[in-house]
Amino acid sequence: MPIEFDNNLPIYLQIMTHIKRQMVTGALQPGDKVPAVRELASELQINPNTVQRALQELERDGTVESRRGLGRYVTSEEGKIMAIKKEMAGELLDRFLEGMKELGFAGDDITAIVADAIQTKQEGKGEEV
Amino acid sequence: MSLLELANVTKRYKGTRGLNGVSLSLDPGKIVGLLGPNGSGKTTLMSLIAGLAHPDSGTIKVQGVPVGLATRSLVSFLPDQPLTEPWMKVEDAVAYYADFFADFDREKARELLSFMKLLPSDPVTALSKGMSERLQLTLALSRRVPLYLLDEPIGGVDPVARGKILDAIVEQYSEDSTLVVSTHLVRDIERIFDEVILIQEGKIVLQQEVEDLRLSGVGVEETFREVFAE
Amino acid sequence: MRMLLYYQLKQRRNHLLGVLGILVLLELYLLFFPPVRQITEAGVIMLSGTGYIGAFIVFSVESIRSFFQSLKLPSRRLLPLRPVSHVLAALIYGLLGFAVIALLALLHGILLKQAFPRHLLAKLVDPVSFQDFLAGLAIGTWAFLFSVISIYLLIAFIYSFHFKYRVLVAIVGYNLLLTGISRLEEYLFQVEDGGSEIFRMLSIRWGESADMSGVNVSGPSSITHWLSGALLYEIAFGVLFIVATLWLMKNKVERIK
Repeated sequence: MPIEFDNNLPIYLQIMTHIKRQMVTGALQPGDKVPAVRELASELQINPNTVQRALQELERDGTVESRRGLGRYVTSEEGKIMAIKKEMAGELLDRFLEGMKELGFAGDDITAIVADAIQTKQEGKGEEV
Repeated sequence: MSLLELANVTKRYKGTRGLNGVSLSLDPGKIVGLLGPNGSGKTTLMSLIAGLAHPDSGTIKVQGVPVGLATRSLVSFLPDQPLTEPWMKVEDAVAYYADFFADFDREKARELLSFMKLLPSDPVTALSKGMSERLQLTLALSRRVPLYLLDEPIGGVDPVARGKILDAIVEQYSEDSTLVVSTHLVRDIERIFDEVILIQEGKIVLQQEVEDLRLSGVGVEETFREVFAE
Repeated sequence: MRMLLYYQLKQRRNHLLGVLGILVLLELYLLFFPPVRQITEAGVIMLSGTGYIGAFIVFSVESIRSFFQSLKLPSRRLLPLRPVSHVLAALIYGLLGFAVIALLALLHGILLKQAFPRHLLAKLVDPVSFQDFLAGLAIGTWAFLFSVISIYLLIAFIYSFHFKYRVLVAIVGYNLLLTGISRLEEYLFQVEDGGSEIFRMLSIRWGESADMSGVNVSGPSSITHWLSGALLYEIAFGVLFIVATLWLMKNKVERIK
């Protein structure tokens, strides 16, 4: 799983996002073992301490759980995945809204545009089927 | 206690080379990038810590011990000159270091050799530059010491060998030791650093945690370019 | 120290065995087929002596080379060894070679006396007793040690400083130092001919092998004379040289960029 890191952003944040994305897409299932620090470090060619920090942060926010002597596992807590999805959606929305604002749209205009787009997408899909 | 402590170290060579009143402290368990253009003092700094050169003034201590015979077994140095001798085969070089250093880990050396695709029966004089760098790195990393000094380990090698060497460094790094890597190639290697030290004309201009640097919005490479811009 | 010595021997074994092989072959050839028709008797004697002296020079150079490497190569300088280990390893390395040459010379002499009494080289060894041999060996060993030690100091000096003409200064200083030492020795001990006691002894050894008639190194008496202060004087300088070399190695020697 290659990641393109942005060298101008903290790497540990990028690793956290990377793992969360894998959980959301299902590449990592609830209860799955998270690769060990060393494994991840050599796979991504980054500093083990950085990986360690990322995993510790994930542990702190409850995304992964540490089982003594066994390593770290993706949380089985159902709500957590949804929370991550919402968090990521929130980030996407923020960026989207900011972009729309720059274009001069606001409030109801945006809602209308989005509703419209969803409508069009669904119709397109319907024709395909 | 810090792992490495330099207090006001000065070393003059002819011209501008050397070090000018360098004070520095390093903690255990870090991979540290020593960054600076050619001739900025990186090699001088490492040679002084390894005890291959002597400071004109100031003190250098490793684990609280002044640099000397006693610190030889605390520091593994990969200098810019080969650690091997021309008569050696790869296996002779490994045996040589195993014979002289009690901290040399033959098992680790064996693993690294196969990882680096080095054959024990190859004469060192027949190795290409890239392969030779790999062998030098194998020898330096196969010792188990608190402090490793690697002087330009990816200097003259092609990108493939470079990746291999970075892999080996990350793979073999143990969390309780500190690894100082000097380089002028920032982009390829910055991801393995915890901390960077920027050195210019024999003076340290910056020492900072890399992630903090990134958090402030300016990456290592950009900082490097800003500091060393003419 | 022992490990370093082991590696010096290992590194150079082919070279060393080659030199000894050539020496043995040369002496065997001269023993069985002395080419007197081609190069005269004196020529044969010269050739035989040159073989030994050549091997002696090779082993001296080897010892110096090995010390030189201890100062130059990172693979030696980074070893967890004291300076004195480097010096001793290089010295013993040279002495081992010297001992092998001496052993060969002894066997050669015995062989000539016992089995080839009519050989032209036998005339040369005939008046030399075992005591003479031992005396010569002692003198030769000391000559070897003193010259090698003084050159170690010269090399350590060159590796300790970085000014431009250090090599020139070192060589001139080296010559001045040795000349001064030998002048002082002449003055203090009334040694007849010029040059240090060592080099005088060496020149006798040289004469011994090169000049077929002039073999009159009377062992016991020359040893007595030698022990009469001049030797102590030289040993004192030898020790001084080693101390200076060790100090430079610990505090000053560094690689030259």
